[in-house]
Amino acid sequence: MNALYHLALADFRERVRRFSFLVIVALAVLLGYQVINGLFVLRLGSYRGVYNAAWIGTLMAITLTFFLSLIGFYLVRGNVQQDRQTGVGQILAASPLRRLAYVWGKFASNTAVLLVIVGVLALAALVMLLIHGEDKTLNLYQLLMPFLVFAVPVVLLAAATAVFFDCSPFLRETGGNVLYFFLWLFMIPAVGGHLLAFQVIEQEMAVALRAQGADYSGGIVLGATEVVEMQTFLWGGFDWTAVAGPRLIYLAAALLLAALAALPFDRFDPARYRLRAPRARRFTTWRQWMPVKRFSKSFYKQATIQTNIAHSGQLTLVAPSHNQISLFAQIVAAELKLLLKGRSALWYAVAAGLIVACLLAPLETVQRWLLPLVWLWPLPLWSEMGMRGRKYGVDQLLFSAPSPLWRQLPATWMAGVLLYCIVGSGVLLRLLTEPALLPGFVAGALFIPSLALLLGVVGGTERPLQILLLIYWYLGPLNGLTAFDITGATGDALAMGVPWFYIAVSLPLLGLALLVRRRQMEIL
Amino acid sequence: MELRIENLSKQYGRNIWGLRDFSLRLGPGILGLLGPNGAGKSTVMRMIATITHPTSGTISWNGVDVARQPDHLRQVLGYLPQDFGVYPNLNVVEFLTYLAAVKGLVRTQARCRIDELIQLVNLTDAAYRPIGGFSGGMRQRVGIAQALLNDPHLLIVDEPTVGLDPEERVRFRNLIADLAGERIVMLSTHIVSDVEATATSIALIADGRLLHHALPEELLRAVEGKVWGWVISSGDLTAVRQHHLVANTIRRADGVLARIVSDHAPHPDAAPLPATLEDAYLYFIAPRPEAAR
Repeated sequence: MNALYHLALADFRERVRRFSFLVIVALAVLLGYQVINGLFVLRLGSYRGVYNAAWIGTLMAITLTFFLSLIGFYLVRGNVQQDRQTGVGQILAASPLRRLAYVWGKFASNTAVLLVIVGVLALAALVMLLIHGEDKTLNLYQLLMPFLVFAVPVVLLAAATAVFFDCSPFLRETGGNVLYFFLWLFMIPAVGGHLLAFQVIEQEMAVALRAQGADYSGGIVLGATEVVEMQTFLWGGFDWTAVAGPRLIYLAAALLLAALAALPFDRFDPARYRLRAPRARRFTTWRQWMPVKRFSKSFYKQATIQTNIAHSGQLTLVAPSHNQISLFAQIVAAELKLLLKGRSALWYAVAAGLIVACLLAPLETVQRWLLPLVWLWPLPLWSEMGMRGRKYGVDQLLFSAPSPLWRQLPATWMAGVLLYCIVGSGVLLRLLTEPALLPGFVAGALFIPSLALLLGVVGGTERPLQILLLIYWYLGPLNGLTAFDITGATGDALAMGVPWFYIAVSLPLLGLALLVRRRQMEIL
Repeated sequence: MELRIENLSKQYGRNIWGLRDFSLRLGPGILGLLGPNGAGKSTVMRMIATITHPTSGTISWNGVDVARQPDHLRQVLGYLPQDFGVYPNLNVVEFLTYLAAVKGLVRTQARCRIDELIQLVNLTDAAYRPIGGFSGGMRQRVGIAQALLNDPHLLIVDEPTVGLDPEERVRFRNLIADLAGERIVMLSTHIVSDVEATATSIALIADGRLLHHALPEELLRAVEGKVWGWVISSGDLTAVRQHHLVANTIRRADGVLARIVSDHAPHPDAAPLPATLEDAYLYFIAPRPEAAR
């Protein structure tokens, strides 16, 4: 227990001292501010409660609960991986620390990080009550209990799921991030009523509403302000002893899920990790035994003269290239290779399948469904752009090379554009006969690498882009929200010229990425 | 060929200085930068390698201010950081090819040089294996190879022998000695034997300040008559350590021969010994118990 406590404490301290934690808190403050300013409204039909402690507490807590159910997972994800990368994991593995203590320690630390956000929003609720309250009576019990009863169980589940995914070999990277998004997408309609507490809120509030003689026929909405003639009703809050009990099941579920994470957890054994390395790595190992050249032709020519390079004086003299175009092309080719190297055979098979499908499917299907898949499938590749050097600790080598800013970053971007064109080559060939649809393709080719580069440079992790692109895909092509339809999957988006907007913002995004990287290099 | 460092300082926090008023002028040869952990060796090397920006002071390469025109130095710079990573899915050839492109080298020449460097650092058998599976020493050798890719005029190697086995260590020392000539090599370490055989000059650094910059012979002369051999019983060793700076000890049939660095003979029985660079390092860097009293 002592070990678990100190593990969680050290982990929590390490995380709250990072800049990214400040960003998380800032986002929490922003969310609280938006609720205070009435961007999010909770209503039953055309009724909303009088802004008193109970209503404001519930509104703030339920908004937070909804966001944390998705974002909370991504915010705390990756701390087991962090232990693996820093080598701390192997030190812990060599100690008597039990697997269960480790995963529960990580679970506790994840929970603590998310509870800080809950705390920020609880404070925002208090501010909202004092500023915007229509009944400013300071009933702290009714103001804060919604956070404890509604938000905390979701915090626990998000924290436990993150640990489980981090410890599972097939879920610890991009695949896990994507899977959670889809799990959330499909599970929320099924269990969200209970998990996010909409069900119980509606039941309790409807009783109060009807008791006040309101004409209410059902339905609860949490969302952006709509221009609806709102009527108010007085709601005094929950009988928490009745509401809290059933939600204890989530505490048990979270503890169980975190404990289950100990089963796939490999205790940082690099041998076990390597066994599960992608096929591409095995292919490379296998290739070295093939009767192919081990060294270049030039080497063999020299090797006949000198069989052993024993002194630096025997090394071939090199000179800097003055052909900037050829040099840029070389770096782009190298960056493209870096993007593609190490992917599994399955990744290549699906990419090839997408190209073929785009060539064979009806044009409407290609534009509506396949083109979005073309930009979604390379998600793990996009998300490494701009942060790969930092991820693998190669930054110092790159920054000490000539023109680190103007040579490398644009080359990375260009490699991203080429990657898009390669995976989307089937679409491109089809669209050549339909020039009206081309802006959609071009928008994807320019905007996605630009966004990936900017988020990679700024964030330094893969998750922001992964979440954002999935949200884009869900809202745009899947749900037809034109503003999010980058590649013009729907006719409306094309007609409104949405792809042109994304083409227009691409270069500014690239410019911003360059500015941020320049600043990063200056303050090193 | 000249590297000039003038009043270089780096401040990290309000009262935390990584380096203070560090000045040095270097011509071709090998500079051994010696100092304890946290002395500021890596900080000064990162600043010269254009990675870290100085808080104050200037670095100039052949008269050109590096802060204003970093590429002037980067074109001819080879840098091996103390901690560096690799792209784990690339093999050695691919990784070096990538860095050669980033360094702006002519492709055909770079390809030949890469093959040769792989042989030079003894990685021929592993040339086509993903670097992700390499041991620490093998990775270090990849790092050494990348630092030599562009035939650097200024080679900065920060703790280069970390993780190398004795055979590779000797190989590396020979390589560094071999590289000296018409180039400047800066080699930082806290292992004196790494620079003993090769360095043409030595800079001692502690607490972010340059203590001495001298030829190895000058350093040796400075501690001449300050190194003593004293045979004591093993039971007295702990007490002697508390009162004197003991460089090392050798077990003998008649007791323990303690090698003591001190301005004065620690005991009438103690006899003067010829000084080594390690003695000089300890004399200038390590706190001496007798001075504390």
